[in-house]
Amino acid sequence: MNKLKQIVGNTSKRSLETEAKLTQTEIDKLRNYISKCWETSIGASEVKIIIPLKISANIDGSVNSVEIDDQSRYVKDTFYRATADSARRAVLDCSPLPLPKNKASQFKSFFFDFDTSFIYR
Amino acid sequence: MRFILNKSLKLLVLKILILISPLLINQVLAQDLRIKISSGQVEPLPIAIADFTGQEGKANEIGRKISEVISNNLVGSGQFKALESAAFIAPPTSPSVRPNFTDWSPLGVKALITGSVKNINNQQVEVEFRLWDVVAQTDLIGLRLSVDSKAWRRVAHIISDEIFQRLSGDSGYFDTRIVYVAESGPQNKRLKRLAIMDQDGENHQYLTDGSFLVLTPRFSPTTQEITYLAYFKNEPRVYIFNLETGQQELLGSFPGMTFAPRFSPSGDQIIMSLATKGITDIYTMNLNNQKVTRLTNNSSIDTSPSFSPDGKRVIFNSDRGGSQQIYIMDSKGNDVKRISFGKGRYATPVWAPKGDLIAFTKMLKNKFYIGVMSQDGSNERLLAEGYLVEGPTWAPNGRVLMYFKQDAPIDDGKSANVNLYKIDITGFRETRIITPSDGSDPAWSPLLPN
Repeated sequence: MNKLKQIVGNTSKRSLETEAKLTQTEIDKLRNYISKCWETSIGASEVKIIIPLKISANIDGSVNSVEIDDQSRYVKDTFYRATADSARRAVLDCSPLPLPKNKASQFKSFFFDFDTSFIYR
Repeated sequence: MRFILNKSLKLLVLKILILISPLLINQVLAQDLRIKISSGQVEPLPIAIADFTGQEGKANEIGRKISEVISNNLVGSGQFKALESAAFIAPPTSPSVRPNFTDWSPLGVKALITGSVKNINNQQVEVEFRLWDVVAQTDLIGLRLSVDSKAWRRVAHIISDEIFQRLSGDSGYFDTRIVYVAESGPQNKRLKRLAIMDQDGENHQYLTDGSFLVLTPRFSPTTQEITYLAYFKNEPRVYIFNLETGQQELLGSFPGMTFAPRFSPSGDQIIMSLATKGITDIYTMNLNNQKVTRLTNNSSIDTSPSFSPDGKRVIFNSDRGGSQQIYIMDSKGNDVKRISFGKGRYATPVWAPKGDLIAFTKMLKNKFYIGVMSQDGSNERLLAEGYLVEGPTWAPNGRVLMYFKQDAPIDDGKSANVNLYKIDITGFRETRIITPSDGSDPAWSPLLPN
């Protein structure tokens, strides 16, 4: 049990050291960066829910893949589909992403959640 | 013994879970990194529209014209900006060939339209197009149509509608027509004729010869009939004009003047005003059995009725409260409520096809306005203004309004110019529709049936 405590304790300590959470500054930097690339149409105002995109990025920030998470809605809702496409273009246009150093492993699989409510704020 | 071992085992598992939980939580947190993007830009989308290629001269010419109409439609909507073809690095040769996206990305375009026109026989052509997402490097939609070569313009509008919907989410409005009152001549001898054209002003034709005055034409939901007011033998009456046969028919026999007609959403009723013995009320007439139903019974002037898209309610304007305002009632004439409360007078209310908004004309301090409001009268927004702007009509997607505008008259005995304009409901992109002469009282058709 003591040996187990030693192993697990050390591991979780290493995790905390090498995969520290993103700071608010780092999040804001990424958010602002993508926002500048996001060009959408007035029809996006008809989308009242968040559009999640699942992203995979390399250590250098280049985008590996962008998946539109809610495929069911993508197929059925023309406004959601058009807006999700604009969000996908935004991520691809913005590649490579300015990822924080030493935290790149967190971007192997993460989400950008696009919110259209800014259009009629 | 067995009981003691099970209890010990449970305790051991619990201790292990407590020890490794930080590791598990870290793993979960790392997988669930989510960053919210809550701002962007609403901008016209940069697109490239390549000339539709053809095998030979005539097909090539049709292809070029189709591309031009598509470009005019999409750019005219204000939601797209088209790259000049002179900037194309390698124009695509066929819609079925995947473009080299690296030729298009540096130009800043986000979408590319390619197409082709092939002769089937002396009269028919096959038109094919494909819409590509240049950034995602994928195709979005494609369509192939076999049509009479003379119908190339309609094909261009149909393709425009497909592209518009795919890229904006909204249904298009390009495959539609406008009926309006074409005006010409001096003020004291004004000629007013019914006229019809495509929504971009093309394919213009006159439906009446001007021998009698016509006003307020309105399309039926089927698009093949128009109802309007005509002063035939100096008697103002509502008529129905059949676009296919060219026949016109007097609507019913009424003891007084009938005017401001509109079709119901189902197309089987006309709603209108009837003025008799100094009173103007709203009536409906069933086109199947000619049954007339009175909806309002008031000493005021009740006019300009318009059904909601579901046919359950009617908006109209009335001076029953002392000034011209907009009221709402159910389709039986019950539950009448005033909905306009802003400064000024309100007229010509018309319900949006989506049912969310009501467009209207407003008069305030010697100026006219076109505006929209929610169906309870809230959220009033004025979109256009002028010396005289009046008579809004909705595009079938509920995003664009058309109306007419008259300049201030010049004191030289001539009439001031009266022209048709369109504007989107954000209040931007007011655009004049070019007509052979002056124009007023426009009405926008539904999308044409395929």
